[in-house]
Amino acid sequence: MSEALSLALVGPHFRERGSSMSLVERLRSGQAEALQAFIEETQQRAYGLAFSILQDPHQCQDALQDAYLTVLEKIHQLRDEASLRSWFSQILVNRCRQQMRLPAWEEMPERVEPPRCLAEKLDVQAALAQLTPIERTILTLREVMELSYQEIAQVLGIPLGTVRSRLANARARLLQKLSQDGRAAR
Amino acid sequence: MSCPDFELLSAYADQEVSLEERRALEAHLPDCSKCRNQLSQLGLVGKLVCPPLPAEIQINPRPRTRPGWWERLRQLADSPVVHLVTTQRQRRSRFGAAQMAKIAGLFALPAMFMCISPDRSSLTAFLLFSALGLMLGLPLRQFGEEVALLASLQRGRCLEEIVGTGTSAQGLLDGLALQGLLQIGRAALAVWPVLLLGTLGLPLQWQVTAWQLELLWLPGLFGLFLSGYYFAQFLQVWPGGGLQRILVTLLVLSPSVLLLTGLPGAFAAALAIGILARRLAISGLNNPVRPRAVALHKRNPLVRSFSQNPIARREMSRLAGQVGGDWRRLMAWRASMMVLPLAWVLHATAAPYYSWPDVFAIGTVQFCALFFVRSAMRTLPAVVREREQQSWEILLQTRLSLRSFVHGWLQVCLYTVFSEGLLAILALTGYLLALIPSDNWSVAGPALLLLPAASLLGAYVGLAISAASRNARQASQSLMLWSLSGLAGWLTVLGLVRGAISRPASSWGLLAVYSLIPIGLVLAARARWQLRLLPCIDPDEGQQLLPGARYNPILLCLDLASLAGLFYSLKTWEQLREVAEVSAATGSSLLIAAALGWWLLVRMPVASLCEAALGGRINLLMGGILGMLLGESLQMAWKLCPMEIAGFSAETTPVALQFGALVLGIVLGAVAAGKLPISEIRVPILVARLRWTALTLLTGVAASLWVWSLKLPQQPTSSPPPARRGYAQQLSQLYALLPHPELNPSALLVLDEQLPQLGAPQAQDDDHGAGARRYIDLLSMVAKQQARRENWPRTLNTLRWCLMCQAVSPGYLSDGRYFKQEFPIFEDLRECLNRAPLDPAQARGLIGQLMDLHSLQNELRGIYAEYLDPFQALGYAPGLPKWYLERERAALSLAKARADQLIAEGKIRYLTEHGNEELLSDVRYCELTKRQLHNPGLSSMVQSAAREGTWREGLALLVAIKLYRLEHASQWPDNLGQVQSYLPRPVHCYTRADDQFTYRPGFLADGEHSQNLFTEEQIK
Repeated sequence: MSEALSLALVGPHFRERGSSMSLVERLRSGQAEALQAFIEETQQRAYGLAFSILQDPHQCQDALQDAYLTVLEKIHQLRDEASLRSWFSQILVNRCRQQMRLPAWEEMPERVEPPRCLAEKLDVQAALAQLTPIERTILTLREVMELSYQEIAQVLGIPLGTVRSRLANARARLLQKLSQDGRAAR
Repeated sequence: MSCPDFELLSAYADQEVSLEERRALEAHLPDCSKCRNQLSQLGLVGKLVCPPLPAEIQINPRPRTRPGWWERLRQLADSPVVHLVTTQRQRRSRFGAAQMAKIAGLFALPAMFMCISPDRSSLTAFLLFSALGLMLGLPLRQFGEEVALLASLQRGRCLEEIVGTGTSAQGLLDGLALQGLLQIGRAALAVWPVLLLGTLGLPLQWQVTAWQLELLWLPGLFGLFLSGYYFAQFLQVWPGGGLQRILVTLLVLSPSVLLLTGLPGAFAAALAIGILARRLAISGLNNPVRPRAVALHKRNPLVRSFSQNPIARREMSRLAGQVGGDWRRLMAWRASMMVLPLAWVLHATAAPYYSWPDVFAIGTVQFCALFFVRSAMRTLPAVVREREQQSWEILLQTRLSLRSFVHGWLQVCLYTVFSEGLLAILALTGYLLALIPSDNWSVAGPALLLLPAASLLGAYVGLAISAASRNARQASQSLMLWSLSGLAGWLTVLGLVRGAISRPASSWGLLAVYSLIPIGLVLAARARWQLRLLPCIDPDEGQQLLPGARYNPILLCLDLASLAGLFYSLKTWEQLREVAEVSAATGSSLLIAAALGWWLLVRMPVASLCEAALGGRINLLMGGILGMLLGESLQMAWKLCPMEIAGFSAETTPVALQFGALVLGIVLGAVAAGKLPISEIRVPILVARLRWTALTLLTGVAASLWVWSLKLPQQPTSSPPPARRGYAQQLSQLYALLPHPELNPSALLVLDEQLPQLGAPQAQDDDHGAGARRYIDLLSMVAKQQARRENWPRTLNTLRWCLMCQAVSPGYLSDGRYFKQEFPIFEDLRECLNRAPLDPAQARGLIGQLMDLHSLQNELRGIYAEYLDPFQALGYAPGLPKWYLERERAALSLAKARADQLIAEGKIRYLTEHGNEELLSDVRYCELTKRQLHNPGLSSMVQSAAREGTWREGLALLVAIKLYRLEHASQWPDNLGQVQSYLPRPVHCYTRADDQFTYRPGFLADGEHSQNLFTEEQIK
């Protein structure tokens, strides 16, 4: 029996009597604690993604604030609840691009300033910073946000083959850097 | 299997490989330690990538507060883009107070001149096309800036910068729209009152529609601006994909479909276009597409194939850059922009063409003016811009010939104007085909050729003004002044032509159109001639190519006074016409001549003196005019103190004084014009300089002679002029000049004025005019108007004209059929006779008109010819024997002879009572004839003719009784015999069969029929 049919048969109390409302539904109903729960659940990964593009913690904070606000305002536009993560990733990536005032990935500067915070001056981050922005973003979307290749292609608006090759390239370069430092060997 | 590449391993680690790849890899991995090592390292990457969340970062989003509409509007008005545009505009000072005044003057002047005309259809057409032109022109002009700004921002890659700085795309577009709306509002508010005031001058029956249209005009303009603006912006950011192409096509076509629902549909279409285009433009700005790098001149195929002329190529590239997109986008946008104004004008001209005879002529003239100004604006920067960029000298030193320079600019101008005006031409042609009757195409069609001519002339004038100006501002001011003075000059010439030939309405619109041709040719020839001097012109030296292009602020008071004077004369115009009975054509000519005279004799000398006092120079023409004034003063002085000077006689002295002063003035003017020392004056120099003066003087003399020949207003003479023979032809001519005047009450006024006082009527006047019947109809309308104003003597006069026209009306249509129209004027005449004070001479004339049997005989002959002649001539029953048909014909002839006899004896009553039977009482006739004679149509026609005869006799008797009372101290006659002497023949309609007459005061009775011819008050 489809969900629509069961809804029609059982009536509107189905949801209330049944399992508790999903996160998306609670977000749609405008509950503040739902947004807080969503933030707590995703902020670590979201920061990783934002940092992979912006490479600056303060700018990351602004982008995250705006992205979560956009989620709250536009949650009704989300059709498929299962794709919440990729939808949020897209919002965040767009926001970061907007913040960098860059219309296209090709125009992103190759060299970014090294991280200023001492705590981030780890060799991993240094190695990451030497990747191109698109490679860094693809790597973060895959490893941190755990999106499929198809979803990454959608979020960034690039072909599937490009995602696969760029991701492999990023991993190879990262491993190479780390093995030079001897970290991978440990 | 050899080791797979790293990409495949990476995808395998993410489980993003195909089934075959997976199988191959899983078969390979157990045997290859290197690949297993790499795979395990890939698993480490995920743990390394994610940076820790710094402790100082707190994410706590607060819902944004939504500003109210006023706050949003303020934010829009305060956006950086708006400030940018405002600064640009302030530099150019467009639509400042002075410009607004000029625009208002540009429209007020022609409207004022057209108010003079008694036929207001030209004013209507002018207002209509002005509104249309503004509706098209103002937004198109305004869009240019906003769209060009966005295009330049986009080209300079600053657009994304602005969008990124917190100004949303929506705010950017809406801010620019708001700014444009404010600008356009200022311009529209300068013109709208003029349009509204002009509406007051329209005939009453058009005013309601006109008010509706005028009130709809302002929202229409704003709606058009907004929808066109957003559409243009959308086309700027349009990426040009397939889906969007379809959308654009739908957008362009949708108004045409909605147009079928009329004006509301078109407004709805404009609204829909605006909203949709706005959304698309915002989304286009948010998701920009990188413009492809295409050479500018290659963007437009028309430009590519246009010319090898370097100037044309440069300017077209500049133009293509301004437009931002390709020419198809531009055309699509302009096509959609035409829709709302077209809907508006179609709604306005829903009335049939014949009620707006001048609409096409005025429309053509106004479009000509539009083309002229647009072309001139296009070529205006030609030399000025080079001067401002200090490249003019460099350009002159290149191998580019001057001819190529001028031709290049002409090409650019014509391309621009016709890409813009193509739709205007199409619209005009469509109007021509749809609304104008085909027999008028031959005269109206060639008028369309004036549009390219006006454009060419505008291009030349623009080039000339550009060459003679120091900077762009001065050039645009000069153009404005030249356009205004050209318009005023054209109107003056037109007024003179119109006055001279005294032909109002239908023909003058066309004349207006064609009078433009010689003016245009002369101006273009002069401009061409001047352009040869192009490199030699140095505006800093004061060598003006076109003199008088400066306007001195001191003259403002003078011009205001002149306008006030003109308005005052307009106000007194109606009174003047009432009192002096001048014809409309003569009056308007006088007014224009007076304005011209005032201009020449007062305004120009004073202006020159002002300029001279300010350090300017008195030019050649001024010398002549001042000389004339001096001559007049000398003459007046000579009249006060007459003496013989240097051997001239008393007759010739004034002429000599005048002539001498004139020559002196001209020579002084010539000297002053060129700063020529007196000692260096030589005959060839003077001749060369006097050439234009001589032409001007000749024109002046011709104009003054013409003014002299005009009939000056006079009081009507006490004795009425005698009726003219052949007046019917004049009536039909008059009628031809007044097409469909029932739609135009002012035309009736013209008719009223042209109606002379009627003297002794000449009923046997010939008539070949086809318009007489129509004219009678008009006359009866005039009479009704006069009766409403209780102007009984004039009503009586008009009714007598009616009677006379009726007497000579042939009663035949052009195809030979008989046509009799009932004219219900007798009741009016009786009413009028009871009220009007009767003049004995007029009363005798009226009796003669009423008792005239000629018209009745004519009418009866006409009726019989219509009903019986076909039988007589053709033989209506081919199978009948010849002797029988001859009997029939004889019977018909006898019937007609009998009718003539009855009428000749004045026994009209017999016709009235018994119809046709009486006619044949003593005629032997056969069955066929009898049947035809009892034809109900024939009977009713005969009876109606007889009734008219009865009315005539009764009214004649009434006039005779009034005449009797006039001459016998208001005594009533005792019997009919006493009044019989006033009548040309005995009255039979009020005698009984035994020829006895029954009469008592107030009633004329014939026993069975009695008619109350007097009012109850008069009986008492």
